[in-house]
Amino acid sequence: MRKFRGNNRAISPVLGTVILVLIVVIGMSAVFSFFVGYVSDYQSGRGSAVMELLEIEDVFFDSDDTGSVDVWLYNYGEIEVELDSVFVNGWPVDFVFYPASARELGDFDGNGAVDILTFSHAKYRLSLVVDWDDEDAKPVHVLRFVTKRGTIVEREYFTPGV
Amino acid sequence: MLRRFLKDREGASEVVGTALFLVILFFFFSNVFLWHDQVSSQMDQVVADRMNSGIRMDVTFNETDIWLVVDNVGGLDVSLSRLWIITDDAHLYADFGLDENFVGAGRQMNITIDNMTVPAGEEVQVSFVSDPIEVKYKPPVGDTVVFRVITKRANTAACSLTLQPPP
Repeated sequence: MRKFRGNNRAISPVLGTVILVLIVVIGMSAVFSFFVGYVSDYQSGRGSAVMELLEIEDVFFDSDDTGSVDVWLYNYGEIEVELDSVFVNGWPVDFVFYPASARELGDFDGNGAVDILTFSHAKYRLSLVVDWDDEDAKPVHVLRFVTKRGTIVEREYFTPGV
Repeated sequence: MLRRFLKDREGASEVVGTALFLVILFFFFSNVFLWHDQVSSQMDQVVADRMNSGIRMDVTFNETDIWLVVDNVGGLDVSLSRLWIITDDAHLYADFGLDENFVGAGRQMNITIDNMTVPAGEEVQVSFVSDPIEVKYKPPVGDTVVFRVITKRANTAACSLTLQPPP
């Protein structure tokens, strides 16, 4: 035993191997945890875009308020949907959500914006750049909705009286 | 030539290391591929179900009553989600609930428009206790009303009604 303890030969190869194994284990753990996080983010984010199905179920051009349009969206996909931006005839417009218009609401990602749950209807009011009854307004309004995951839903609607 | 190649150990660790790296990489990314494939198949089924659950709607009326007749012309059962009642001045709706109103494949559902009640606000009340289902709405005389129904799978059907004033 005393001979074993007194023998300092081959310490450095053992130490080297231990350090090498340690570095590999720590490195692989870091890579693995990064990958798990990446996959998790992908699955809950852009990867889930294929599960989003959104329908524009109704559009109302109210003659009492020609500067805006009311739109009802219906989520019939397999995952909740959050709107990122809305375009009318190519112009980005402001939109306001009507809380009372959906049966169930939630804020899954905790960013304060409303998520439209599956099989839920939601109403939004879009503020137009040009009033829809204006002389310069186009008779057809192309509404484009873009979700946080990148899904795009686009439809054309005629303004009343056209 | 082959014997010399097999005896030569130089560079073997790089080859083994690269192979192991590729195996680990394949193990990692195969999870994502498998998940994406599963989700795509699931959504293909949703879209196929939607295509196979079409509906049609007609309106029928006599002197006292108005009915909407919803026909399921697809091969799958359909669940109605919302009935839209659209005039020039207002877009109203009646919610059917999620799992209460099934129309079997090849069957039809009658919805009575209860023209004695005037709706307040956007949402129109629906009575499920009666058979057929009653929607509490009074269509305006002389104006065209468009009825549009949307199913749980987002299929839609529409029809219109113009009540003429009595002579």
